[in-house]
This record gives sequence, structure tokens and C-alpha cells, in this order.
Amino acid sequence: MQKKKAPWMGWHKNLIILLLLVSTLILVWSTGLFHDIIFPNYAQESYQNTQTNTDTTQGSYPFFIAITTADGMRYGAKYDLTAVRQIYDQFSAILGEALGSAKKTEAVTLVQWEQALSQVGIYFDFLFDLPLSVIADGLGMRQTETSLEHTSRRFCVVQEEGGISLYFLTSANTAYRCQTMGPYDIAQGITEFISNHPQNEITFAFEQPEALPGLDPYFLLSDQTPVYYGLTAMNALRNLEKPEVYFSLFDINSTIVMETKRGDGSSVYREGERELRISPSGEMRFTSHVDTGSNVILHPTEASRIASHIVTNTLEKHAGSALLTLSRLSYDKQTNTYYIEFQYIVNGMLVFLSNGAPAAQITLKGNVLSDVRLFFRSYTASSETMTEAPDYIMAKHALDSESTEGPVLVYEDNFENITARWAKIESIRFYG
Amino acid sequence: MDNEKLKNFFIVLFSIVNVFLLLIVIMDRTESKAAQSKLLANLTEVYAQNDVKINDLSRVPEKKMPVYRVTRNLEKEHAIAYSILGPNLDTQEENGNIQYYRNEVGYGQFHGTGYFEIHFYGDGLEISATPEDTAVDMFSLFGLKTDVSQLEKNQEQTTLSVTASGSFRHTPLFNNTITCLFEGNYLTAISGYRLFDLVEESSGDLPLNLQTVLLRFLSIVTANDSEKQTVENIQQGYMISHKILDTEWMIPVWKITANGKAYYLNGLSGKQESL
Repeated sequence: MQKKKAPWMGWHKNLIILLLLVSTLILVWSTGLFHDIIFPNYAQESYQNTQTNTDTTQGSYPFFIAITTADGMRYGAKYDLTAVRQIYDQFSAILGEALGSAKKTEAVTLVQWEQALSQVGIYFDFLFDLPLSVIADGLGMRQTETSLEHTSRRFCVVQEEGGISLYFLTSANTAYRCQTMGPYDIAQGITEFISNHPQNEITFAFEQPEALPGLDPYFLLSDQTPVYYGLTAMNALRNLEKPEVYFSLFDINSTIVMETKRGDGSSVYREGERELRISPSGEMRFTSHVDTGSNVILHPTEASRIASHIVTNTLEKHAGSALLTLSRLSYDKQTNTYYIEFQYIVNGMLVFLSNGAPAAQITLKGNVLSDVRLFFRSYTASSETMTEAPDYIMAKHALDSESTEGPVLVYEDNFENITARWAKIESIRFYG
Repeated sequence: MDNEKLKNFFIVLFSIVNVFLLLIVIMDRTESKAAQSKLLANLTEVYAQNDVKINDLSRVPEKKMPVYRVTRNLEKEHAIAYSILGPNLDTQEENGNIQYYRNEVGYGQFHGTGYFEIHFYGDGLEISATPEDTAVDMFSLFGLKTDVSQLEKNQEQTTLSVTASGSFRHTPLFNNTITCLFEGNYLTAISGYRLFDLVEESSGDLPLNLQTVLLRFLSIVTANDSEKQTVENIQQGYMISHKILDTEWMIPVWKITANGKAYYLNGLSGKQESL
């Protein structure tokens, strides 16, 4: 005769199973073994990875930075991302507010500009001439319009009577001064910063006119030996398995797209007037002949945001140790076209591709992407460090040539190996 | 297999998995504790070799200090201005993310850098309590919870300034202070840096542990100071970083006091900070 089981036995076992399951989950969590699987992307949200306002636009970064105290002490940083960031992170919001709130722009003499560089303040050199509104937008400015329509690479935020003033120098060597709405006392912050950092011998070339006659007077010279990391790179498009992830970015309808293979191994995806070509060399090229929207007039900040969106969702995801910085934003009023470029930077040094192309070259007609050329490179910095001659020695060497521009230490990526070289950004000419 | 057998199978399976995981957790924690004790002992020895005196490190509390991202919310900011200046506020937005609030009582300006100042017209705002109690009430409107014993006071001629340092969930904010100015029975101004409004934890930043921070500190203090050093106190806190307008980052910071001097070490980079 079969023994009849008590009816509670069924739910009793269910309860035990449930408790054991919950206990298993808690223990799995406690081991921490699967945190990386549960939070696969969290590095993207971190403070250390946030350079500028990721909600608005791609960053533009200062390459050289210097702070000066009331008694003329100076601390600066070049070719060292950590050191540049440490200063920039402390004063970038003040620069953003100064750019955003600048008023009553007045042209000043170069002597006044030089005086400003020697005053209590912070000097920023972005290396590339960029619209002031675009830099301010990257620093979180809400308004798209500023009273400043200029472009510049060199800025100086100084403490003056009545508050903060902003100075900048245009590529035509015209200096401007503007009042800002900043009521701060930055002198104290600068003094405290310098008290925790040894003063390094960083000067502007104009402060040593006899030592370096003829050199760009506002070139920041350090007598310290630059130390940089070895760098390797690979073609980040080589292992691309799903090109369709980029279709939506370029507004290509994946259901009706036509794929063809070219003799050079590249794949071409065509949908109507849009074409995306992916080359085995690592180049992605998008072209479009769509006219709708080409009459829309964009503000530079809007154009920069569209371009940044493309770069963030393509190159930056595969760039490894590299960041991307805006290096050009120009506007042709006659054709209503923006030309926007980005370059790779690693540890505070620019990476030049030996084919002469920028990392990203984006053409916007109205609000339509008409041409996008992207070079997918993934960089890995090694722990091995190398040194170069201090830049004042290279500056002397550079003076032998026709240009007065100071030389800048950059990486040159020739698609096989990467070497550090001295170059002039203006003409991308290499030395040594 | 019938239902009962299946249930028995799962009970046995989950029990084995539980025992296995429990063993991993226990072993992990035991190893971690032993390693930490060993590290602290080694560290104390390294400090002694470098002629830097440090007390029992095992007594230094080390709590989890995540990085927080704090964003500005204009509605909440308006509510703060309203609660201080009162109704009929005229709001004006200026370029550079600066908000102005005005009414017949006074005016205030709030910046995207966290800085703010509020001024009252005429003699100021008449107070019914002591300046200290009034300051505590005002600070609480900015989310800064403090009591009278923690205030810093400074009397200069007829002006009394009352300052409080910020805190967040019982952890000090080392570079966040708000000051109230009083003239007799009148509050004339409030200014300082406020903590923004919407807090979210950033999960991607990994703060350094105490041992790493102390090693960094040792290299700083031995490089800069030749006199014999004694570490008197170690405290965890936050510093507010404004990389961009309208957003603040709360970065873990270790405040290490040696020979009466306070050193602030960034809990992410280990670098010395100026606050």
C-alpha cells in the first residue's frame, strides 16, 4: 500500500528551493565574480573618463597650461596628461564661465596681452584655433549663443580689479580682453596649487627674447625633459563583424541596403543617396547626396555636437588609450558648409597619421552629413617610457627654418609603427 | 523523473552550490583580512624606516567612498532662493550659466561653478534668533546640516562671519564652505559654494585603498620635508571638483595631518590636491 504524503510537503520543498536559490544569488553577489558581467560598461560613466560635458559636445583639450601667482611664480605642464588635467580640472569651469559670460570685448595691444600672461591667472593653449562658443559649450555652457564670435587657441583667465577677465589671442595676432561675470578670487586657489607643486622653469618665449630671438613669443617653453610612453596601434576596423551597427548612425536603412565588394577588399553599403564604405585599411567613409536639410543654418556649437556624436559613437569606442580632440571647425558661408576635424591624442601628445589625414574629417552641409572620413586606430600605451630633449633646445633648432612657430612633440603613426617626433602644427612638418 | 524527485535533486544541487560559494566567500575574506594586516604591518615598518612616525593603522577606519556626480537643477535652486528671499522673485538667466534672483528683499546670483552669493537690501534681514542659530537654519536650506558647535566664527569690527563646512552623508566635504555675514541683528549676506541638487553614484571609478594612499603620502612627505614627521590623524572625506559648468564631482580625498600640517590626497589618483 502506497504511503500518502502530507499535503504541506509540496510547498515545504518549494520554499526550501526558493530559499536556497536566494541564498545562492546572495553568495554569488558576495563573491564579486560576476560584477564585470553585470556592469560591463560602467567605465564609460566614470569621473576619470569624463573630460567635458558628454551630454553636449566632444571635448577640446588644452595641450599646454600654466598658472602664475601674484609674485610671478609659475607652474606649467606639457606632454603630461595627468599634470595638465590636474590644473585643468581645477580651473576649467572658471574658463567655461569666463567664455560664456564674456562681455565688452575690446582689442588690446600685445604688450597688454603679455602683461596679462604675467599676471595672476591661468593660461591655456589648445594648439588649434577653435570658436570660443564651441569650447564654452564643451565646458557645459547652456546657452548656444555667446557674445564672442572669435576663434582662438590661446586664452588667459586673469584676476583683475573687480573680478575675472578673459584675454585671448587670435591667429591674426590680435589680442582681446573681455570682462566676465566671475566674482571669484582665483589668486588664492593658484597660490595654494603652486604651494603643493614645485615651481618648474616654464616661461613664455617673450620672457627670454635674447635667448630665442624670432621664436613665436607666446610659445610656452619648458626646460624639463619630456617623458612619454611607447605606443602601439592596430587597425580597429580589422575585426569589425557587424557593420550594420553603424547604419543607424548614418541614417541608412538596414533592410534595403545593398552590399557590394570592391577589388581592394572594401565593402560598400549603398541605400539611395547614401553610401558607406569600409576599407580593410581601417578607413570608414560615408558620403551622401541627400539635399533635405542642406539649407538649415547651424550654430557652430550645433555643428560641433553633430560631429562629436559621430566621433563618440565610432572612433572613440575603439581608440584604446587615445582620446579625440576637436582640431578644426570652419564654416563656409557661401555653401553653408561646416568642415570639422578631430585628432587622436595620447597622454597629452597629438598623434599624427602619416597619410596627413586627421582621425576624423566631417563635412556638414546645413544639418546633413555629406562626407565623413574616419580612420579607426586603437592605441595602447606601454609602460616603457622614453625621453626627448627639452623643448627650448628643439625651439633653437626649429628657428633655423622659415617659420617662427615653436615645435611640438607629437606621435607619428605610419600605420606600421609609432615614433615620437618634433613637429610644427601649423604646417605639420617634422624635425629630426 | 517525477516532481518530488526533481525537487529533491534541486535541493541537493543548490545545497552543494551554496556550500561551495560560502567557502569561497569565507576564504576570500580571511585571505583579504590577513593580507591587509600584513600590508599595514609592512607599511608601518616602511614608515619607521623613513623616520616617519605613524600610529596603529589597523584602527584607521576605512569606509567605502564611491564617486558621486551631482548636477544642478534650476527648479531646486529657485526653491532655495525663494526660501531665503521670499516671494515675487524675478529670475534672470545670464550667459555662462549664471542665474540671478531678485525681489524687494535682496538679490542673489548662482553660478554653474557652484558659487553663489545672496545680499539683502538696506540693513539686511532682521533675525529673531541668535546669529549662530540663524546661520544653522540658512545652511540647512543649502542641504548643509550642521550644529552651532561646528561653526567657525570671526568678528571683524561690526561684522560677524559665521562659516560652516559642508558634509555629505556624515562625510566631510573639505572644499565646500558657506558663510553668513551679520551686522548686529541683521543678516546681510550669504555666500560660498553649494552642493548641487541631483546626486548619482558613479560606478566606474575605483578609489585607492588606505595602503596605496599612505605609500603615496610617504613619498610626498619624505621628498618635501626634511624634519622628522609624525602622522597625527587620517580622515576620509570628499572634495568637490567642477570640471564643467552645472556638474560637480565628489571625489574621495584622504586628509592626512602630519606635524600639524594637513595634506589632502586624491583618493582616485593619489596625487596631492590643493583645496
